[in-house]
Amino acid sequence: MNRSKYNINAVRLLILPLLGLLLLLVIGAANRHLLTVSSGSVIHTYMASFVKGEIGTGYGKPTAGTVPFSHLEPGDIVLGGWPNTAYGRFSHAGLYVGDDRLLEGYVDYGLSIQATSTYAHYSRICLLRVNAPAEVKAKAVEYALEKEKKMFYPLAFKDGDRLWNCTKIIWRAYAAQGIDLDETGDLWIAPESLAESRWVSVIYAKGI
Amino acid sequence: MALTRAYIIHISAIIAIGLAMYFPGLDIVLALVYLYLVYKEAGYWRQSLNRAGMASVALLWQAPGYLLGGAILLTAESISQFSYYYIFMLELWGTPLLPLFSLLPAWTLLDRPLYYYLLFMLVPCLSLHYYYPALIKKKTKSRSAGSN
Repeated sequence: MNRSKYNINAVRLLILPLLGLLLLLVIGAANRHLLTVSSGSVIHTYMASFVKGEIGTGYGKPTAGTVPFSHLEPGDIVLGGWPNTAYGRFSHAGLYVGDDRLLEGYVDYGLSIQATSTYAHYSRICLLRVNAPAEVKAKAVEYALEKEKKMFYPLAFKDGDRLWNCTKIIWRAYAAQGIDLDETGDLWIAPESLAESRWVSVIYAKGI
Repeated sequence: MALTRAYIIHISAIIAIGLAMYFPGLDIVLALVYLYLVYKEAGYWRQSLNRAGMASVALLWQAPGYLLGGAILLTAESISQFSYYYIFMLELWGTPLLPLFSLLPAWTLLDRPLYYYLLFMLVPCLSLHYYYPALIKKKTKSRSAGSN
């Protein structure tokens, strides 16, 4: 009796660690192609930054210069970042939806509409134009706006419609139109992935 | 021992459920498994711990969540350069229940989504979830005493 109780207690403690390990192996096997990517993947970039002691979104002071947000068109992408961002040159991304507004993802606001001025504090800013017809970009914007107020989770994987982050919503909005902005087939989408996409052109860059 | 086991369950749930989000739907199943495991774990310890002991474990088990939530609510966010991360850390700490929160409607209150407020309620709710078997024990004892 005591022995069986002891076993049940041990099992209860081991269920979640074992499931975690199993999931890690399955996800690792399904994404083993990332092992051959010498650079560019989120994990590779983060590990390289971790070695240098950079572990988060970074911080710093804004650099001088007026950002030409007025040149943006619906469907354009805005990236912001700091010199010590752990996952590339940029830490944040937003999708321009028109009228000086961006759809962004924040932990305390979810997917939400914000003014372009929220990017003013970044020392690195990059404005990207997706090279696609205006109607395709309009549909991408429409897709993204339908997800407003959905839950933000920083480590949201690419699949699923319940958990989002600032880059996943942009990637999914364009993926739904047949445009894959992720060149490496990564587990997560980093702002860097959007900047490196063959589908985009840089229309303005500051601090890079 | 009870506290260590509770931490192991919670931290392994953060990892397992975070990974389960790769397969949408599985994360919800594991969130329910987590709640069941915590309930059974607390049910086991109620046999050897008194109510004060159970309450202590329930509170200390969620101490990181209380500290993070308190720091954010008391606007102590500016006390360190990492303060910006407190809300992220609180959300990561709450990962085991986020799949269930994500099923709720995208309502907002004072311009913030419902789940934002739930992040702060999650921590005391988990403490209560752990303490609940101790309450049942008390009621059962009272009923037995009444019938005698």
